[in-house]
Amino acid sequence: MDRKRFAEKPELLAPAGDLARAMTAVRYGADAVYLGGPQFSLRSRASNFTLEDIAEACRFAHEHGSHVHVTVNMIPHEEDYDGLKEYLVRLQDIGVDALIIASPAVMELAGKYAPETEIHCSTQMSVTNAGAARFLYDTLKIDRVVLARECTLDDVRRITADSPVATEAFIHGGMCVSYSGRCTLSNRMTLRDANRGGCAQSCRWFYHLYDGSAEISTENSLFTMGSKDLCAVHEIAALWEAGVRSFKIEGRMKTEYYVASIVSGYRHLLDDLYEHNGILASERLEAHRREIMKGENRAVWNGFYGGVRGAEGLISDLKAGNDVNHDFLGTVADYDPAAGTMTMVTRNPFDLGEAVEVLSPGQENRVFRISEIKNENGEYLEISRQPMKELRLKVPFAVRKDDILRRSREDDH
Amino acid sequence: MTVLCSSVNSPEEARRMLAAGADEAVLALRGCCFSALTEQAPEKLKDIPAFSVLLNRLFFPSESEKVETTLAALREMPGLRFIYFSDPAVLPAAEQLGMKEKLIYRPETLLTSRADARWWQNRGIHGVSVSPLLTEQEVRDILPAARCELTMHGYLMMTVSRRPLLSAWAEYRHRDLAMKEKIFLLREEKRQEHMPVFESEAGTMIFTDFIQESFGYAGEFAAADRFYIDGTFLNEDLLADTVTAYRQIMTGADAASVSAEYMKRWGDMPFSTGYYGQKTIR
Ligand code: SF4
Repeated sequence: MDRKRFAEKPELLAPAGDLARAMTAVRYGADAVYLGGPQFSLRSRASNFTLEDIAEACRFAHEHGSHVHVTVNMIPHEEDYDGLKEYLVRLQDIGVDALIIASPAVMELAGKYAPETEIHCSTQMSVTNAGAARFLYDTLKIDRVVLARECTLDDVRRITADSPVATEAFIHGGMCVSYSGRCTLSNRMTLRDANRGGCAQSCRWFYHLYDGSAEISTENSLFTMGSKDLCAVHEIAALWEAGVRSFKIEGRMKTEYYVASIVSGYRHLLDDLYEHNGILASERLEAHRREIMKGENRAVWNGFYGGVRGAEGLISDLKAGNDVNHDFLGTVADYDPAAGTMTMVTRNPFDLGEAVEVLSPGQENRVFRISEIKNENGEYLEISRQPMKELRLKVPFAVRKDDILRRSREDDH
Repeated sequence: MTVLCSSVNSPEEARRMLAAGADEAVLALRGCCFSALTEQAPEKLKDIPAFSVLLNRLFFPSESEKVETTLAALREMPGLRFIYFSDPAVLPAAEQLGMKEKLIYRPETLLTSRADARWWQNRGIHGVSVSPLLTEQEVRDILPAARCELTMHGYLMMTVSRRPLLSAWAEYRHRDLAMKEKIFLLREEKRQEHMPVFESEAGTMIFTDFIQESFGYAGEFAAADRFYIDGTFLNEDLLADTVTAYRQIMTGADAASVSAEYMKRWGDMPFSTGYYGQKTIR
């Protein structure tokens, strides 16, 4: 193992579907966030960012030593160029650090109209070798390439070693079953363009399978091809050692709770690896994995990093996920040190006596048992069943506004 | 003058399509292609008088040598017209061998605007193959921007995965399935149409439930550099009739009459004019 590699931390890059999630990601330790405006971006429907919000995200991120990358990664049709130049100029002016782009023509425009802003080649281009990265660098002066999720660990090593630009690799989150940018299932079945942010996730639907005119599937064994999500906890040290510059979490459609949990989990893992020169005992690594999985509600695998495989990476049985969003109990609104109580805003039901875990940016997670619940009239409660209510809870340690409260599953420890 | 080319499944089929009116036959090279069911060793192509090849896979680091040796072998073949590629790394590799102007960029879905068409053309390659997802108006708009090829006819590739999806289904369901060069069909639970699907070393490819046809558009799209017929799932007789029909239209025959004649024989197949009149939304 090349220990020198671990002297420099890679970037932890987190998704943000709106300003609140961008701020949450930064608070929980993201070195950079990526987000899309209402135009020119895939997941445009997931975006709640105005240009003012993007400016605010930049201000907040820069204050915290973090960066903002903006996706301009749709595969453009003619009409999509309207207003693009002005948009690129504006993004540079408000201090965006990097643009994630999938079209060479848009990269060329970005080089001209936002020359101070880095250009990152989107995974939509499916770069799977260093020759492609070099070509894009030579012709478009890109600063970074986001590798195709189809790359194995060995592919990532070889590309990163030979690439003239920094590489970025996905470590967590949703995966297309197809090469990015090359799937039109959704276009055909719903007339929604996957390459312009409209994917209806048709790969997760069920299909009858035929050999000629004879059906070979049955009602109980229909064909489906939805991918499990990626979780590369066990591959992170190898990716780091390979020289990958940025570790990317997917999920601009995900909740604030998801963003906080996953970013916090990987922040702790990266910091731990940094302190231990990249070497962690397998139990320690497994503990990090368990921590991260508390925020994940879908089945995961280690993607192509573990090689090219079939059934292992697919959700063949759609009942595989479990609803961990149900564990998100609420957020801290304020803390009263004199009384040893906090005001929280509720999300999911909980009972007196339940164990609660507090996720606080920059700190190890802490657990306490609920010994007292009061409503806004000062009445004692035994249960909480309504979302978005303010309640006062006793808490045995100091907490901060916006800390996240989740159900602690003791058998997870 | 627009070139008419047709992808074929064998050297024998290539000769038949050339005789039926194609200017070129397009063949898939072994281990280098996403979209074709049957693949050929380069030496099998050397006697075909006019052919292009599909080198349109994305290549992984261990395959870079294969790209170079394949290109070097192709350089020696007098019948070679063009090389289709989708991996940007093929371009500098071809340039090194002095073959850049033989390249046609065919990334299936990624080429949808004039500016991108122009950008690739300006790299010194022969031309680009535009996405079949464009509307009629978008096709008209893009044609003057570069030397453009249009996919006029055939099943269109809808998705390509690196994963062996059919084997995965069989493995999970404990079923035995022979996959080699075999077409299966998928039908979405709530729909009636069947989509061809096959698995190869490169992964799994799924095609549209319809056969694109553009007889009525051939005149309007005459500014295209090339018309491409995808013969992957068309039987040889159907493919030969298709080639002849386009050739007739391109040499002045009335498109409506040619189409009507063709449909008399093949009208029970699932033809559609695809996305020409149908805009996909975000
Ligand atoms: S249908 Fe599935 S594989 Fe295709 S773009 Fe959508 S999520 Fe990706």
